[in-house]
Amino acid sequence: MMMHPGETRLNDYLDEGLDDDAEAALVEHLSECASCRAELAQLRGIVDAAAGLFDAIEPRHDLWPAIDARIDTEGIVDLDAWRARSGSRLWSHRYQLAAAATLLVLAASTGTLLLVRDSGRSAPVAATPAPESSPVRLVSVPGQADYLAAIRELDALLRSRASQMDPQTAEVVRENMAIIDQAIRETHAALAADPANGDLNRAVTTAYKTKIKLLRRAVELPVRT
Amino acid sequence: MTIGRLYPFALALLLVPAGAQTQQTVERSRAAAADGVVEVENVAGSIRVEGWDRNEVAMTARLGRGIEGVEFEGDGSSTRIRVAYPRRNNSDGADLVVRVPAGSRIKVQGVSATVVVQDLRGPVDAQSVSGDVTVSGSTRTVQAASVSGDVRVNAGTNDVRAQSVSGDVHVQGATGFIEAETTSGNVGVQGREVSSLSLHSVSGRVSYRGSLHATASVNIESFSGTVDFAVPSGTAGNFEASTFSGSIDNEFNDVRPRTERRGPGSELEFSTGDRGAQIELSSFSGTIRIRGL
Repeated sequence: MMMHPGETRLNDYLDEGLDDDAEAALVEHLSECASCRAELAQLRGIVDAAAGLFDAIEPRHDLWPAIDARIDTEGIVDLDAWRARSGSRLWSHRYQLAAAATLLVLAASTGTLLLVRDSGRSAPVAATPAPESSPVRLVSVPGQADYLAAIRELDALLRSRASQMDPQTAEVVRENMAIIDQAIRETHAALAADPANGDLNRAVTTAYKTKIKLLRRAVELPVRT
Repeated sequence: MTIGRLYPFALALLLVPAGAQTQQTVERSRAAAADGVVEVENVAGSIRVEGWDRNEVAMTARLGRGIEGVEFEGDGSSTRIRVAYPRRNNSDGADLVVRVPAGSRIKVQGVSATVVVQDLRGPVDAQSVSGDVTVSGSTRTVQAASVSGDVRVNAGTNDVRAQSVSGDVHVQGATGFIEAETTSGNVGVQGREVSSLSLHSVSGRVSYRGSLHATASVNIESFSGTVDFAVPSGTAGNFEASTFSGSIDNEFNDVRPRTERRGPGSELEFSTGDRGAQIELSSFSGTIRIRGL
């Protein structure tokens, strides 16, 4: 019997994305593996339930201007918290998909968006200012509020130490922060176009973590002696 | 370890003064435990730490003009060496060569100083800001970091954590746990029987070449750089690779990647053998290349 297929392969099966041989092997495995059948059924149920929600994701008009002044990280719905509240034990792409869809609908109906304008809101002192392109609407990823809060805190700390940093080191930090900010913008833009994409969720999260790591590293650097 | 922090050592501080306007070479030594702690701080110039088979720490310091002196202090279990720079005046750097018992625990901190640590068996923590950091030998564990300098670990080490920001990170000969990351630099690792491999870069190229432990866990990510992954042809495992907009080049076997249904990228998944390593490779916009050795 083949190895347990994993969530990615089950997703592909549901999406009819497997080639004939792979599908035949998976079907054979499913016929012999109750746990994988159960997982597949669970995924299928979520997909079916989520399918009807997507038409309602996009707000009927641009709510951003009205809430821009009020929204803060507290206004971002944390998918981790949602998961905890929902009692879901399995967190995977399909579950993120369903959660994102549900949250977006709820958010639209209550006037709270799951969107923030730009990660540049918390751009660090050393970072290159974000280009003034059209704002990217950022779909929240799990833990985003925490990431943004950490970035703001570290950013403030870095600002307070900016004058003590070696200018060349500060320039290196600034340049690399700009690279990470660009990665955040690109992944968020992609996620905005495909909010259910688990890989993009993970890419955004990775970009935030990378930025936090660099900020932490920068504030821990020895000051100029 | 933070430059400027003073520890309450039981023994009196020995500050070896240097002539303010002249270069000077200072040599000092003291008895040390075979597995004691040795801390070395030097802002500019170079730091070289070498292991030897004596229970003794010996220092040779070439102090540049303007340097106030070098602290050389400690007790039987720890030794601390710190170059004292003037607060306001410009000064040259210092070049330190420190020989320590091979089983020592080493902590080295430079700012612009280059750092070289070799022939140690005990754990090594070596950092600089703009200087290169190089660690070699049979060191048990290595933490090596720089901001703009390159980091190189050439050691049969069981636990390596290496990072830079704009510099390159190279790890060679390590086994067991390897974690390496940089932001805009490149990451290159040659390992053997690696059990945990975590390599990350944002815009740089990331590559691994070598064997894996039978139950290895591999996670390699680059945002826009190329991921190049090469393992022996018989490697058993579950391979998963995905890009958002990049391509996947599989030279490991005949399985062809397919276009990512949600974007312009590709994805690839295959298993070799019933059990094996768990391998995840991803890039947002870069190319992923998988090869057999």
